[in-house]
Amino acid sequence: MQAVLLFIMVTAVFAGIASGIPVIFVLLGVPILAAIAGSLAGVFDFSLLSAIPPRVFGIMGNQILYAVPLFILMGKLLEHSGLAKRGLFAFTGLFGQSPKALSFTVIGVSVAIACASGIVGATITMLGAIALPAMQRFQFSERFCAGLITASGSLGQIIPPSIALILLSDQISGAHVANQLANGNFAPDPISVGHLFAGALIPGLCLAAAYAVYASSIPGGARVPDTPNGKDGVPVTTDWPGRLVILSLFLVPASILLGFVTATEASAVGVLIAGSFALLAKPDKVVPALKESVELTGVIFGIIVAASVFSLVLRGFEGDVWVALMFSQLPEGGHWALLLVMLVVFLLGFLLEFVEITYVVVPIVAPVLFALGIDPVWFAVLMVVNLQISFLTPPMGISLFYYKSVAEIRTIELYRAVVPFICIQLLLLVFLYLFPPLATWLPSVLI
Amino acid sequence: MMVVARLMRVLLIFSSCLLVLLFATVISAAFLRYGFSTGSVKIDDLQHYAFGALILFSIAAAFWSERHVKVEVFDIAKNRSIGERYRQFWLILLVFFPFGLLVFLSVPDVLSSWQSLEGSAEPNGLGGLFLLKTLFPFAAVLMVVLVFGKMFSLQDKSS
Repeated sequence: MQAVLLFIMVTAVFAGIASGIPVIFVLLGVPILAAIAGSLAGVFDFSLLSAIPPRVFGIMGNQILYAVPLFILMGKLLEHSGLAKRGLFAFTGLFGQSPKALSFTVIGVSVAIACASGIVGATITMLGAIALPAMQRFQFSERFCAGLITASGSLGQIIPPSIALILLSDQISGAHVANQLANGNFAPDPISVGHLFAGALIPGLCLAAAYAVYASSIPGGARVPDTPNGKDGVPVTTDWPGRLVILSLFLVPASILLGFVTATEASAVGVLIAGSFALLAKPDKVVPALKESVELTGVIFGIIVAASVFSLVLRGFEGDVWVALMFSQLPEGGHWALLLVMLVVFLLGFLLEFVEITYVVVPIVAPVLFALGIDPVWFAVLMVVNLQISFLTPPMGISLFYYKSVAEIRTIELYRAVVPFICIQLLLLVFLYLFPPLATWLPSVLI
Repeated sequence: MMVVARLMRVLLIFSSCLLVLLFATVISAAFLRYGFSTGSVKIDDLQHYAFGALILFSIAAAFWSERHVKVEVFDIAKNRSIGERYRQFWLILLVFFPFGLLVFLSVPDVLSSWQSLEGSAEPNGLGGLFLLKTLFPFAAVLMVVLVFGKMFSLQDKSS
């Protein structure tokens, strides 16, 4: 009976999400209803639900997560004040005025904006509004433009300071410490946000480089006569404030990676820089940026709270025991289990976003994987690369929606556009699996 | 309906202030730490309170402005009459009912917090943690109220 209810609950969660009900309410409501049904059937201890308020209080006091609303605010201030756009303009033309140079510029600017804000939606809509017309003038195919902009714009999820990495570190560090304590190590070295930022940096830059290699292999794109103001080609400006903002925001991830400040402190410094420039440039845009940041914070934390309820009820139905049992059937060592987790995460990425996957899947699988000897930083970076793929995978890849909001393109054409970039991401995932030092070397040197 | 909309406007402004407070406390703590090699437990607690209240209210704000993530593989809302009935169905079953239950579930924790007038766990910290904990059932009640607001707005649209 317990297994039947567990199966019904998980199926109902997927059906509810696919039917268009906001994910937060499905993840919160369905498990509570399942718990009530289970308690009536005598297979679920209803008193377990009284652990929900303390869990929420735990989230409310989790210092790692303080950085999330502040990084969101930093990104929104840059977006609303037009500073990110100015920074983007200021950097265009950095690689020259040829069609291929424009592709490199799109990737380079995406990396810069990713370091500065990390908000995927902002990057893609900005690239769509600014770089797309320039790419169209160079007669790049509609498909290539869509693929390059959505893939490059999603780099913010892997390149520090990424919100996905902050959320992952919250989940990973707890599971790592619990595993160390279980193994008799009563003074475990914690896994910090800095470890994950350092771990994801090389794979993130490798991904950007792989996009550049692919872009350089694409033929086509006609040369357009250059003009000083860049009207017919790449828009070029020498907007020093724009460059200054972006360059100064590079300090944010750099200061975390070098261990000077914590992620939360760095996020506040980022807000200070972005807010000061925004107040000087467009003070009337600060309040809308604040309001949007509050709403976006609600979106992320709503899912975190709801996923916490889901995982609690899942444990109440002994779902974690089922997962551990399933892993124990696999061949010796953690690698098969890891491959299975990566496959499940990849498939879930077609339907769910990174926050849901992080807070639903990681708490269930991470303790088992760490007990099997998988390195936490390696696992986290594999996860974040895998989660990055979910930004592009149809039908629910969020980057696709952002692109559709700024460009006219048939949905099927957009789906085809991202296929080569998904293949590149999968290739990186395979490389990362085969060569763990890609993720583990830099944290061991820096931190 | 108008009252709920006005309440949510105020709440959004208040939550924005909480976000500014969070920023101000984090930057002040960093300034104290790097500038004067010192810290303040009260400022740390204020960060905690601002962040805790912010996330509770922001969830309601996102609900009211319909910002919560939806997937829509099967677009039930396409058929207007079925879509509205389905929306009312899940609003009751998956929002009203669970959040109502959360109010009930949080009462023992909040009551015991009030009984001891719970404050910071740190010496020299801020008092009033019980007030922050009280925001949990308050936010859950707010979600229940918002469900009614949404249902009335649905009825207004259909009539």
